[in-house]
Amino acid sequence: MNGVVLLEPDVLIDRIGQMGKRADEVIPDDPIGLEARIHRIKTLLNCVPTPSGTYEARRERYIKIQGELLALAAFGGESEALSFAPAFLDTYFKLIPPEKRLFEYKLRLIDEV
Amino acid sequence: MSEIKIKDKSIAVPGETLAVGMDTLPGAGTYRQDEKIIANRIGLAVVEGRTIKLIPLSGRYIPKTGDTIICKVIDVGFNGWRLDTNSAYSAMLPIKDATSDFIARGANLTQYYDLGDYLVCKIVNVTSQKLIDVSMKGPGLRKLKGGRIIEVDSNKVPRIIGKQGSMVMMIKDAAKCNIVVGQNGIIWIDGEPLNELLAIQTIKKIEKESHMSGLTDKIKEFLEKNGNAKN
Amino acid sequence: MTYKQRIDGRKFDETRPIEAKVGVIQRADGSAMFKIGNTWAYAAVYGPRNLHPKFLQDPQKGVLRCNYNMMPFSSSGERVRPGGSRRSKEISLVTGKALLPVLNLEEYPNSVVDVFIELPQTEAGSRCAGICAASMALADAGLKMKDLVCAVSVGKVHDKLLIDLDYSEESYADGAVADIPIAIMPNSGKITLLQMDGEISKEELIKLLEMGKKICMDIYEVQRKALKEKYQEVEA
Repeated sequence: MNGVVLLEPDVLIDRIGQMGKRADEVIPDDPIGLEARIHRIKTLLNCVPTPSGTYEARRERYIKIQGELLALAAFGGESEALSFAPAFLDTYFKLIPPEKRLFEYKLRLIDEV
Repeated sequence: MSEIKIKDKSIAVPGETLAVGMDTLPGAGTYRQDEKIIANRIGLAVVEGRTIKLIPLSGRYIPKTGDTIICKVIDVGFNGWRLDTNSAYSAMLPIKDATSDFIARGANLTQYYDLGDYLVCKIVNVTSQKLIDVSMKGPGLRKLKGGRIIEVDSNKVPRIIGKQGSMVMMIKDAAKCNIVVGQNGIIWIDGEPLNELLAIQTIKKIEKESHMSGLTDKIKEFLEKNGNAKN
Repeated sequence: MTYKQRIDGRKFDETRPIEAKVGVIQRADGSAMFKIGNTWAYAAVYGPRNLHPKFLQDPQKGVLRCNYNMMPFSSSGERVRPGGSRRSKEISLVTGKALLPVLNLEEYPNSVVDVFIELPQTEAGSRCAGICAASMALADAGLKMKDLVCAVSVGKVHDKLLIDLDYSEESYADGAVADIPIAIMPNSGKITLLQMDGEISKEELIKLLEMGKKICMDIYEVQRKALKEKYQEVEA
């Protein structure tokens, strides 16, 4: 289990929304490009690991999508990132089983302190 | 296992538990506390798929990017105008966003928009500090001349506009008035004095009875009855 | 000698009759009335709105301004002088502190939320009635808040622990009295106001806080009902 905190979809959407509000922030140069990023996210969302995979593998996949969405927003693609919200919501329920959700939520709270 | 504790489309008060469990996500107006999703304000609870949110029923207008609002000019500076948005926050209209006409640097800005003028503008940005930037460049965005301004509860605006503008269209036709409805609860009406009065009465009626069912028919009836009397 | 029976015949853990109504002042952004026995409080909320002077603005969050005022002939004692007194300033301050923990004022930077509490008639328990009314008025104004706030006075008269002291109990001359107004966030049970006039043992205080929390849950139900009643028609 890597050290990255798992963000629930509503928390991620909130964070992306906050990024959009910082009008004065300078957006860094994007080495990859918005189009490529969007393509990556679409690919990741379309092939979700089977339910029989290990929790670690599924968590890793979720974290990867989470990271890509945050990066897309950080490089100026907030609205594009927000447009993935419904699909990301679905992915949360597909990848993270009910018994792990409360645990991840509590981990996030500890991390934020 | 998740459980929705509140009846769909019922009123929730702050602190009320709306759902329990990790199968539901907190939407607008709600927050999560461990396994519970709790109301963060007073509102109408609505379940949308896996999310539960609250529709605001009261409260002052909170400026949102993309909203079209009617503002009043309260200050004219060198680089633009400061506008009252009918909320806790004023808006900035910079010269470059004021009009498609060219405005020379150092020009007398009051020639374009002066103190007390009402403008239809669009919110282009709201920062985390609630600084609002607006623009007048776009269809329908302009200075309002003549007519009169009324104020309504901004939460009732969707009802006054109606589905795809159907309600406000109906009033415009029946009262033969020009009407612009701002998301911030400021409405402009322009027509013959008696017709303006009818439009205002109708809008106030919608504001008062917005919660009732069959409102569209009631308003249609009201316009027919009172519209004929005026003509 | 003991304090055998309450002067108005109530049980020791019973409050005076409570009445609550929301939306009583049309022009305010939010308003409510809270009546407990003969103590009657109105609260009006205006905001979030622009804050002048500018130097008072907080760029991180909105500012809460509470104003508690008893009307001149409200008290059962002498005429209350109009205008602020030391007492009303103190109550304004603790009322603000009691309400602040539930409000999410970071949503309204640089603005102010004004709360005005007026009491046309009082007979003990006025600051608690004011807090109950203000909490409903803030919710009525559509402000973001984690929870409501419920308040009631608890205390000890002679040898009995009791809830909601009335004027005769507060000024009971034949024995020791402790008057303890408390305010609670019903969801978490956390205390946002705790003051005391008098003397009491630690064990007694703990017992009283438990009693008070229980009663506050009943008060929460009354507040909830009053709020829902105003918006009830909207459910259609």
